[in-house]
Amino acid sequence: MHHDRVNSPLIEAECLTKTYRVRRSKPGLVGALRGLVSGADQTVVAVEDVSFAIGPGETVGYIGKNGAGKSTTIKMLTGILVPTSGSVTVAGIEPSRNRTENGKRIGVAFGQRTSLNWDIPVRESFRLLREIYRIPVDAFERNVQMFNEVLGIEPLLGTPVRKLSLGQRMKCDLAAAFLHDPEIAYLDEPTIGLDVVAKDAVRAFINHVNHERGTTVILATHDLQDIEKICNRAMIIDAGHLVYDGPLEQIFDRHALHKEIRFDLRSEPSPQSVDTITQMPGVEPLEVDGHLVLLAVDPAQSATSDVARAGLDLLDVADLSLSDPGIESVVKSIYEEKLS
Amino acid sequence: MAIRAYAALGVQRAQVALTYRLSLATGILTGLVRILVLYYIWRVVYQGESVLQGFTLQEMTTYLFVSFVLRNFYSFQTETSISSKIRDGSVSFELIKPLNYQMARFAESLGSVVVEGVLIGIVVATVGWIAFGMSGPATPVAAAAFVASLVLSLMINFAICFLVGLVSFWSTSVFGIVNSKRLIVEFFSGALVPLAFFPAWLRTIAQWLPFRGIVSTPVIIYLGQVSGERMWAELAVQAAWIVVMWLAGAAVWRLATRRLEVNGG
Repeated sequence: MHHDRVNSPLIEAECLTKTYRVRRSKPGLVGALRGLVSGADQTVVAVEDVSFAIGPGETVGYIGKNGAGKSTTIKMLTGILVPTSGSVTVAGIEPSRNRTENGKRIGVAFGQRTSLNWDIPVRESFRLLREIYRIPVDAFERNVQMFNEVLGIEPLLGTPVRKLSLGQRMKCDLAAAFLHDPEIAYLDEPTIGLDVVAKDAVRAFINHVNHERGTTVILATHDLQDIEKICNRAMIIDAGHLVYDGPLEQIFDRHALHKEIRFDLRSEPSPQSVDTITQMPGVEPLEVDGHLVLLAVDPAQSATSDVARAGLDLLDVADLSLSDPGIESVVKSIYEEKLS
Repeated sequence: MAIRAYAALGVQRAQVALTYRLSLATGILTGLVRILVLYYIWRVVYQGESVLQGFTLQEMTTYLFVSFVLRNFYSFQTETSISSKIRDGSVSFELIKPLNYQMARFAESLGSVVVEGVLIGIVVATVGWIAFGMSGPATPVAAAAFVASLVLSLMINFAICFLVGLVSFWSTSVFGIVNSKRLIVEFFSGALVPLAFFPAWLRTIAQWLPFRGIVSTPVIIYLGQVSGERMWAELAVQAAWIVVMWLAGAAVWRLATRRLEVNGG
């Protein structure tokens, strides 16, 4: 885990740790009643000993499964949560101790919830942000117009948020996060639940702002495509630990560019036929189990169509599916690499 | 100026309040029903009596309407709006704004209170004036002091709601606390029965609690039951409570955000 940067870091995390106390109660009403008198507090470690430094203008993908600790880290960086131990410094200040100061230079969008007022037109929420961040009127108008060019939000501005679709809402939320030209943008799952077209618009927008303004972008996601299209650096967190921090190419070269082919079989395959397929160049068995054969294929070495055809010829295939690997398999292969 | 940001927050909240016209209308309707019920109870109480505990029936009627207008300002949801955001985690967005949290919530509370309170208040006071012979403020000075006391009452009310709302950081069942707080305020503020009708020991307790500053103090100023030096003293007591509870709110907020755990991912 190393990265050499010429610039002094904008964001610095050192041995960042966050633990929660969770009250466990036994299931059912009786358990809940018992919990009233004797509840055993349990400590859950969400993030443990995470250190990194991020320079100005970087686009960092923060990757991990659900519950890996992404959101907790983001909330400590934004100053929402106070670290249990370790420290965060953003542009020389400690966010959770200087929330108002830190708030001026950051923009935040969460895919899971909106910062806009549910009941009133989007434009009114924008106007409120203009007052809160004291955005000069001309800069404000310029931003709204520019964001409209990339996101096409103009027709949505007169509508209350509760009447927007998820994709429309997310576009408005993103625009809201960038209205005051923040130095740093923290985006937590900004494409979650969106269709392909909306995802593309969101990604194009983030890229645009990064290029035009030099905004530092921290993007937490479990969608590898987000990272691929936006980021130049990736940090992978798993079970609260940082397991990878480095350039993006490495992950994709080594782990993510392969395709997965899955054969569901009507009858168990003969070992020879499985061997024949797995001996094709660039083909690796991920799982061979009774009625399932799951393969990783490096498209540079074998065309996926050839591998699929071989499978259909040699195996008693009931169902065939092709997919890009998810974050799980990337994390898994990083682990395997570390162990070997 | 930072004040513009807070003003904008208040204006936006007022705007939201105006979108809920049905809730405004039902607020007016239930308010009138409540007053009618209380009015007829008091009429029975006053049968054969002209003055009770220093109140004539007309003064009591006036007390009913003015206290309703004041009570109305606190029947709306400052604490629930604070606590629901803590519960569902959207308090996150308030924590990253470059604003003082307490000031921002106060601005919002004022925004909704001014719309709801003033609109409902005007309707109810007009009804009281035309149909029930409610009197105006005792003197011009009493009128001015009443307005000052009303503003202080809003601030006391907010300071209490703020403290109660913050309980959500420690407990997920704020509903019960909010409800008991409402009952306590209803009773000790004088919204239900004027404090003059309390037995002496209970009146002493009420004297030393902040709640009477919400309803009782402004109404007795309106009625002219206190004037001169005593009136100023009453206003000073209100102001003192605001300072104490505002500081308490700020301290609890600091404590709460030190141990904050945001719900919902």
